[in-house]
Amino acid sequence: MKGLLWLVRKQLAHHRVRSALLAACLGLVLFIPLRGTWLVQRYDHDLRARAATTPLVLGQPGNRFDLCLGTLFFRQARLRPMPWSAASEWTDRRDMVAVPMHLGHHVQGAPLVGVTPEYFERRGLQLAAGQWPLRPGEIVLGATFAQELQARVGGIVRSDPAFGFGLDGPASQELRITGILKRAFAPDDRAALGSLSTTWLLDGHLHGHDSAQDLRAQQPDLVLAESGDQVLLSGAVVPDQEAQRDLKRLHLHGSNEALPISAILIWPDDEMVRTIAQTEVNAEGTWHMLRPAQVIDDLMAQTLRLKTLIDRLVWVLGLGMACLFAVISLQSAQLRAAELITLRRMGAPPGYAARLIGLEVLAVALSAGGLAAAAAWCASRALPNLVHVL
Amino acid sequence: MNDPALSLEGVEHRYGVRGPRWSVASLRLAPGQCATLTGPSGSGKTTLLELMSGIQSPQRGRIAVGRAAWSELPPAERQALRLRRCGLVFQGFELFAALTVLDNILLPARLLGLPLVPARARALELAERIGLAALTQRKPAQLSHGERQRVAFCRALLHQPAVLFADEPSANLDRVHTQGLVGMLQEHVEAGGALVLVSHDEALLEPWHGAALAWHMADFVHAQEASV
Repeated sequence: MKGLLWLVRKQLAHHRVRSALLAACLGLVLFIPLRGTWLVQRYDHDLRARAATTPLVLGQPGNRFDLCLGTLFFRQARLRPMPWSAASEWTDRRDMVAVPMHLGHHVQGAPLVGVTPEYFERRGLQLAAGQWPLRPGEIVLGATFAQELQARVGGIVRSDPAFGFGLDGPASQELRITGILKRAFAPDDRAALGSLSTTWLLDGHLHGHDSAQDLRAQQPDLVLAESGDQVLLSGAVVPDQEAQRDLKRLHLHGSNEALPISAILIWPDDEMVRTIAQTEVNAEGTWHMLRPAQVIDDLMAQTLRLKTLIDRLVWVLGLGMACLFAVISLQSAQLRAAELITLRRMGAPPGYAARLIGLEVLAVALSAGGLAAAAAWCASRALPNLVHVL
Repeated sequence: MNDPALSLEGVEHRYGVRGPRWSVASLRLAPGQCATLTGPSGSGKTTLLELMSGIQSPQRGRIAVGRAAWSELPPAERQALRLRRCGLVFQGFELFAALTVLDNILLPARLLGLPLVPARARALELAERIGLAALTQRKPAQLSHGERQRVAFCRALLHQPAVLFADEPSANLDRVHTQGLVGMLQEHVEAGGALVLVSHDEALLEPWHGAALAWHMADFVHAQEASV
C-alpha cells in the first residue's frame, strides 16, 4: 500500500498543474452548495434567534418583511412613521412592555436607533464601559461598531447627514459616546443606540438656536415678521450642531404627540395578552401588529424554495463536472496504458493499476472537498453575519 | 541436485492462429547459468521470454521458476513470484514518466516493500556503474534512448532477481556502455543468478560463447520435425 501511495503522490506531483486545476474546478462546484447550505443555515439561525426574542411588532400597515427586518435587524427600510401619541396606549399598559423605536438615522454608516431604556433591559444588553444614554445627543455603541471605529467613552462622532449635501434638511449633529456595549452577537453589535430624543434631534424636530429676542437685536434681517410677542424667523437661522453642549437651548415647535416613531416592539406578559392584542389591532386596521417568528418562517420558506431550485441546478452542474472528470481520468489512464501494463508485467498485484487510478481520482476529489470546505470556511469568516449584508 | 532456476517441460505454444508454433520438450537453467536466446526477428523470442517469465501462459506444458510452476499458481501469487524472483528488461524500456531515474530504478523495491535505505544505496551504485550517476534526478523525457535503456536495466537488477530476462538490453548502447552492461550481467550470473539473454548484438553475446546455453528459435519452431 505504501508503494501505491508513493506512486499516487509522484503521479500527482508530476502533473501538479493539471491536478490542481482539476481539484480547483471540482472544489468550486462543491463550494457553491456547501457555502449555500451554510449560508442559509446561518441566515435561518440568526433570523429566527432574533425573532424568537421579539414577540410582537407594531407599525404602519405595509410590507411586513420590511417592518420585521427593519425593527429587528435595523435593515434599511422606508417605514412610514407613526406618531408618538400612538405609543402611549401601549407604554401605559401593565400587561406588557412596549418599546417605541425610531429608525432611519446613521452614524458613520451604522444605523442609529432611538429607543426607550426598556429596550436595553429587554434585549439583555450590558455595558462594557461607560453609562446609558439619557440625554439628547448621547449614544452607546455596539461592540463591533465601537471596535471598527476605535471609539472610546466620552468620544464624539458625527451623525451622517440625512439628505447628503442638501442644505434644506437638518444638519448632522455631534453625538457624544456615553458607553460601549458588551458583545451581544446580535444586530445591536453593529449599531449605535440612543434615546428617542436623540433621533428627534437628528430629524430636526428638536433643535437649539439663538433666541428670537437675541436675533432680532443682532441680526434683524433673519426676522421675517413680528406680531406682539410672536417672531417669525427665516429658514437661514443656523441651528446648533453640538446640541448636548447646551441642552437648555433645545426646544420643539408644535406638539410632542406628533413626533415620529417607526414602530413599537412589544413584550406581552403572556400568550393570551399577545393573541388579544394582535387580534384587536389587526381587526381595527389603523396599525398592523405582527409576530416576527411567523414573518421569518414565511421569509425562510421562500428562501428555502429558492435554495432548492439553486441546489438542483448545482446538481446538474456537478454531474457535468463529474462526467468531465471521468473523461479526463480515463484519457489520462489511456495515455499511461504502457506504464500501467508495465506494472502488471513487472509483477504488481492484480488490480494494482485500477487502484492506482482510483486513488489518484480519490486524492483529487478529496483535495477538491478540502478546498471547498476551506473556501466555505473562509467565506463564512469574511461574511460573519449575512443578516447585515442583505 | 539443486532445483533449476528455470525449467520448461513439454511446452507448446502457437502465436495466433497461423503464427509459428513452438514446442519445447525440456529445458533447464540452473542458478548461476546463462542462456542466450537467438533467432531472426519475428521468430517469437520475446513471446517465449514472456512465457518463461509468466507474463503469458503456454497452451500446453509446464514452466517453473524454482519449484513454482506458473500454471499452478493463482494470479496474485504469479504476480508476486514474478515481482520477487524475476527481473525483466523490456525492449521498449517502459519507464515511468512521472518518476525520476532513481525512483524508476527503485520501483521494484517500492512494489516489494523492501527497506529503502539499502535499496537506495544499491540503486545509486548500479546507476554509477552504468554511467547514470549524474542523471538520477532527471525524468525519462530528459534522457536519450540509450540512457533510458540503462535505467530499465538497473531497475531489473535492483532486487537481485533469481532469473533475469533481458530482451535486447544493448539495442541502443554504444560499445563502452555495452561492455559495462556485460560486466554487470556476468556479476549477476557469478552471484548465482540465472540469465536469459535475448539479443542480436554480437558484442553482447560474444563473452558468453562457450559459457552459456545457446538456444535458437529454430530449435523450437516446426515442432513436428524438431523438438528439443
